[in-house]
Amino acid sequence: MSDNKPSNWSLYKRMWPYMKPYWWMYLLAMLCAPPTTLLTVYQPILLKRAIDDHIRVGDIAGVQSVALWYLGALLASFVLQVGFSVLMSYAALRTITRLREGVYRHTMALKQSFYDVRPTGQLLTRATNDIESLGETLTAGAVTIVLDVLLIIGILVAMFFYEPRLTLVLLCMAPVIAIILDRLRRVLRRLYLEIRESLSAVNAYLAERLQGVAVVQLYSDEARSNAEFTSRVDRYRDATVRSNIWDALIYAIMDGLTSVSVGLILWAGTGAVLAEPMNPGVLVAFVDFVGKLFRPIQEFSGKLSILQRAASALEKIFGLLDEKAFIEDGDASLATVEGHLVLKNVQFAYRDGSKVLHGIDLELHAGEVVALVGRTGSGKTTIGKLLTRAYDGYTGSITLDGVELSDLSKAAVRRSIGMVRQDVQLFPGDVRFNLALGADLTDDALMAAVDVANAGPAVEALGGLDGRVAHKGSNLSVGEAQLLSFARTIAHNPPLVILDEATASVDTMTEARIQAATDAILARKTVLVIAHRLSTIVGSDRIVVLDAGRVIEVGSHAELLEADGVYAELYQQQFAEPGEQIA
Amino acid sequence: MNAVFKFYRTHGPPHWRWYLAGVVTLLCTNFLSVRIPVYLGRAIDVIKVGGDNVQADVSFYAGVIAAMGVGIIVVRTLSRVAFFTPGRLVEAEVKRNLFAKLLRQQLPFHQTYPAGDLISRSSSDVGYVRLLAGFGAFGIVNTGIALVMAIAQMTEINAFLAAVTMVPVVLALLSVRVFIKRMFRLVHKMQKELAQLSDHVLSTYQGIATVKSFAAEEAFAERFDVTNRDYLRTSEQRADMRAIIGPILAFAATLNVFVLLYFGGPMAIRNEISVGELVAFIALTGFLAGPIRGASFLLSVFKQAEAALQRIDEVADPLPERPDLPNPVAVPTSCPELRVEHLTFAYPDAPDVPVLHDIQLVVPPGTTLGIMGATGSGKTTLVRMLTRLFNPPAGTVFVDGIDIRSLDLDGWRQSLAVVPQRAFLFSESVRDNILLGAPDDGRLEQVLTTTTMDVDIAALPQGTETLVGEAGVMLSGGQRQRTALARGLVRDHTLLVLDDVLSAVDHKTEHQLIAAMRSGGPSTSIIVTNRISAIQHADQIIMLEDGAIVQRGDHASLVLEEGLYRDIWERQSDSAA
Repeated sequence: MSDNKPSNWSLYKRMWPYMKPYWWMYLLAMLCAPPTTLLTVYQPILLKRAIDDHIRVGDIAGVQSVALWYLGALLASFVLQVGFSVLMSYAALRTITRLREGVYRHTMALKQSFYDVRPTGQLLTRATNDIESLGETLTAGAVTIVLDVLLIIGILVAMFFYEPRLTLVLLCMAPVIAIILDRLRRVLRRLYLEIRESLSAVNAYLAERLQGVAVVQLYSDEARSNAEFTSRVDRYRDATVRSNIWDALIYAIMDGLTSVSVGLILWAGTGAVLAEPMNPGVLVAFVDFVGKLFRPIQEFSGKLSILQRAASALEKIFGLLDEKAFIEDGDASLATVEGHLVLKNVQFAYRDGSKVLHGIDLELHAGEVVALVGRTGSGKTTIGKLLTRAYDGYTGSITLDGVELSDLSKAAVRRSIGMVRQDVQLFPGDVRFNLALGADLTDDALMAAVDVANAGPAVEALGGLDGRVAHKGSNLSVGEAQLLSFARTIAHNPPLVILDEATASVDTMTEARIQAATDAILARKTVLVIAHRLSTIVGSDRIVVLDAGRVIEVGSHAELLEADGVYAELYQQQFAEPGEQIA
Repeated sequence: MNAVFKFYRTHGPPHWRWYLAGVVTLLCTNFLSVRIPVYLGRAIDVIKVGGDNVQADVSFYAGVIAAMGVGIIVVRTLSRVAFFTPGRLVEAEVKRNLFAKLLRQQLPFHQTYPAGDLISRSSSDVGYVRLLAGFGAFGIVNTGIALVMAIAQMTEINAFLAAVTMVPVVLALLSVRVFIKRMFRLVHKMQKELAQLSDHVLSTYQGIATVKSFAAEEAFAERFDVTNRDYLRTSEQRADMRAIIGPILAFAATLNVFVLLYFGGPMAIRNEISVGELVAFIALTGFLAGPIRGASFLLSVFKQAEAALQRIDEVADPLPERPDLPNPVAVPTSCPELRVEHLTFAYPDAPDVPVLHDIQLVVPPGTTLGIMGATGSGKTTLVRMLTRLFNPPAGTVFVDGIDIRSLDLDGWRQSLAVVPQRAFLFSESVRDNILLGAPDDGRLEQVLTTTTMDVDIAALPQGTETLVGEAGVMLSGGQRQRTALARGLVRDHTLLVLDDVLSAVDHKTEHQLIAAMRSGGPSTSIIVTNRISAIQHADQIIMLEDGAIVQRGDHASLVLEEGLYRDIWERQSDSAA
């Protein structure tokens, strides 16, 4: 357990800022500890007194008054235990609530590229399960260890006080016990690791096969799946069955050794070690002490392993909190935004080094509609991502109304540039929240935007602004979700809009609505279209054709057709056959 | 508790040897445990009386107690192993069986129970199965034996004291029940609130791009805080219950000592019992404290296990909806002819709303059928009927003249290559993902070329052996789609179904893929799409609207006909003019 203690300690230390607001709760709880210990140690002492001082001399009133003291000690310890438990759990729960909030806020601030390389399931585990497992530790593990240590010390002191030699004899057993237990735990630790790994292999497999159950069935992959699952479950089963044996042995050793110690006390206490036999009361008290001593020792190891688990959860959580992938924002703001956008020799490479933009020059005047056209991988989507500051680290210059984009504050960028995404992202909550996303917009403004975006019927079907949108918008069709996304951008009213047109197939009715909403935006804003639809391309002021991260053609639809270059080819490919029919 | 009884009746008997061994060893363990206090009491009495032989007599008792202690180590270990092992065995059995059953369940079932739900049933709920078969069985037997033996031993020493000491125990157990009940309700509430919290966090991460582009971080954090605080409040209420239940039990377990001193002390003075017997009594009540504490935990295990068993049975009991007839007909090996006759279909959850209405259709062997139609027009349902992902009504869908329902289902599926709209990749190598258990007869290479995946794979660190999916390299949307396509093409198939596969690729790739498909082996093909360019070469195109075929023909005839097809065709091409 001492293998990585220092690093564990530094992990626990980092919890302090989250514990700090509740320091008085922790303090009060800790203050409950010493009296609880004293009361526990006091009980065997009362027992000894009852036997030696009263029963042996025939003092009935005396033994009954000791009994009442005993009752008093029990009641006091009851109250202290409840108090300790309440204070400690409240403090711990509030601490992890704060930590959970901290993790959530921190992750939200991380930049897009961080999310690109991590499965959301893994992030979710950090923010929920890992923190949840900490909660139990803080309440059950870390702090009660302090109590246990106090209790062990208190009992040993009392024992020394009554019979130092006998106590020393008993302590001789300690190293033997320690060595045996340590051996057993070494075995167990390996097994626990194996159990954890095999279990997560079982769960991962289960999750994937169920998510892809349609594929499994369509391709008759059941037999292979069952065989693989069985072998994973068997590995888990074998590890747990083996760990049972060692677990049971540890438990039984602690139990049996209590009795062995009782025998030792009797033997040593009646002449073998002590010249004079002990008083029966002291013997009884010792038997009681030993029983009380073994329980915390027995639980100690369990708590240490809980701490170990907490440390690994903390390591993962702080690992996430140490992630500093933020976009560096400037602090410049723009009083009014015209929407004059200029890109000069913009180059960009993704984290993995693949260069996607090789010097882009592009200018958008206020009120213009410019369409970006190009094959998959030409870089048109990346330009949109740079403009919304989802990605940072471009070279060259991107200016909005003459100010460099990276000098602008986050708020200024978000106010000036809006984006309609291809993959519509909706959130569980009401329609109002999904449209406003926290911005201070009146219901009237929202409804006006809904109307412009042709999303009226969809919103109505949900039950108005109060209607509920399900997780990932699963209670809406793809097209309806698109329209809500249009309404969202229209409601926020940014001067410059980046429109990443959707390619998903929707029915004709919805398609017409989307077209109308698109037209509405094009008419009102400065728009950079990442274009897939012919109508949008043809109607735009200018078309910029990208290929492999470079601008290769610029011009109007007619000009570019005339030039008979890449655009003309793209256009032919996409619409050739039906076009021929027309002609 | 019916579910619990049923569970023991089903899963207990196969492991009776383990359980029998457990009962025998527990009898030994508890016998030793209740005898030790008696010998301790005798030793105390010897000391109290005094005399010449004190040391020899006490040493004898000390030896007996120590030996019993060693005996306890042996039998207690064996008893726990004997009970907990079948717990693990049953857990593994239930997990395996459940998994196999879930894999056999058809689409409607998986629509009712989403993967996340099934996962929690097969992991945390099955955990309770283990507890029932192991800890639960152990707990009942152990508590029963310990109580009977300890009370018998106490009664043998002194019946009156035995009765008095049991009073606080019974009272404590009764009062604790109230708190435990309340705690269950709170635990239940916490689970719901935690699920809500997870849902919020997950949706934030999934929609992070939108959160950021609208600078809505603060609004999301505020919503998070509300849920987070609700969860805290419930957690604190549960903590209250825990804070009371534990100390009450501890109090009850030690209250005996007060009772024994107050009533038993004077009795010892009056010599109605010996001091040693009083000490034995105190030690016996100490021994009982363990099982008592365990009893309340046991109660909570049974209660939660019952709910867990119900949740497991709910998904394990329903027979898979695959009425394979007793003598399934072998699947034809050549390209099938598909015939649909008067197919009207409504999903079981909305029997009054037919999704398909009187469909009549013949797809001759080796030809291509194109299906178009708006969202909700019944395209996907029709494909599900034709592939038998859902069973069509009897006498409506025929394969080479045989009712599709009487075909051997596994054989039928092996003759299909269905590429679904959403490509799902497992955390396996690219190779395993494409083959999915099918033999690699050298066609893998060829398929990779036709789907242009060979270029992408060359860029992967270990080629086709590269791990993909959540645990490995993340492929792009297009790469995933083409992997799924390769999955379909690599198999020996006689019916190819592309369910809106081509909308995610650009037009150039689309042309390439369609060409690749046509160059493949002979098969009957079905292409579902909204892009005219993807099906204009199909032998037959049907247009669905509200579950009915409103137009049919080939491209050349359909564009001449007034109707939906021409509208769409014009929309997709006309704006060019």
